[in-house]
Amino acid sequence: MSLTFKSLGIDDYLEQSTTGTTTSYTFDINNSSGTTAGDSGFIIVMGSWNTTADVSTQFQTSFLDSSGNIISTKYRTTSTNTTLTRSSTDKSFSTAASNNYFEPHNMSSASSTAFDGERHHFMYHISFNPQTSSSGQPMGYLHCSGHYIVTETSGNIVIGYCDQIAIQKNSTNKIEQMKIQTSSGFMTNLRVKVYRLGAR
Amino acid sequence: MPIGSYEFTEHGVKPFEEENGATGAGATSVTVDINNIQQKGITLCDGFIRPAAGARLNMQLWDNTLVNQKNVMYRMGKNSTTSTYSTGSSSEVRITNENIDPDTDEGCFFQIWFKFGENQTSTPYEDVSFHWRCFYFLDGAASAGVHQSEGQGKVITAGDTSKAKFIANGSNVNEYRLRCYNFLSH
Repeated sequence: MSLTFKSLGIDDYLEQSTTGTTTSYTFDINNSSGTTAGDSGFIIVMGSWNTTADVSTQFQTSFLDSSGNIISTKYRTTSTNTTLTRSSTDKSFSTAASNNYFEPHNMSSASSTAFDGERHHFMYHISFNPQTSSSGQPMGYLHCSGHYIVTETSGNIVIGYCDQIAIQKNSTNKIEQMKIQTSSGFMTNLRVKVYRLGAR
Repeated sequence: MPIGSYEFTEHGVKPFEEENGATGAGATSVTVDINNIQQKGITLCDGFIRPAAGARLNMQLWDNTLVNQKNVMYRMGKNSTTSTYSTGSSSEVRITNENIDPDTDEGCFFQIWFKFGENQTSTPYEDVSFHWRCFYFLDGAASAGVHQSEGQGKVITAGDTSKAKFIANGSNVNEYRLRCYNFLSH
């Protein structure tokens, strides 16, 4: 994994996209391997997608090791539209954090390919801190602080804030991938980019 | 400690400040440099603090000599099953609204972005502001719950703002990691 520095900033570490339909999408955010700790750093993941049908769904995020096993996390989500603010109750260690508590309806149009302003947009700020084997080091963790916006069928805008924590000790220093998924329905015209803004 | 110019690694910008400990700072607070060369730009402070006993996390801002403390105005929002907000004009920013759980594997996690415009009085005048997101385990019995908080604030005292002091209000800092990345320009 390496970054390219450009006159206008840094290149993305990873870009993936699909025009197909999928219920989940998994991509690399770090270079852990087995029980080997990944690099510490500050990572930004951003992207957007459409649904293929008008369906209530929750957009969820998970973190996986190099073997595809989901690492449990603890999270809290706050979402708001024009009239209501809702927050998730305390979510004990969970495999998938919801990013929109409203379960909004999505595309009012059946056309999933048109850009009509009803795409889901997200950006995650991820602090990645594996615990090192050095004595005196504090606990490792991953803190994913997310922003999310989507349009309901009614036309209301829903915004969501999701904070998600995965504890990383020596035995679990292996988060390598991030997974985004819908609780129902499909994602299409998905694009994801990963930037590593900083690292030791 | 090089600061003020980018230190690129193959993975991005190297943090110019990292303070960490697993067995306690032995004090009520931990202080880090956020802009000790008084330049313009942006600093990200990425942090984890676990207090020795149930305590709220507060933040103070100081000049480079740790003699002159900065006053701030801010608003903090707490997100639980309902959302409430707290505001303040004081010398101290309340980062969390409740006490943080001191238990192992719990604590408080935050990302604070500082904006340094022009630290000195100038025309047009611009000073220092900041915003943050925080996630913390609530003090209490095991799995007492987790909360989010968020907020924005501004410094209302002229002169350089160079250091941030994180305070376990009512206790000591136990386990901690504070890492600052600078995107300072000149």
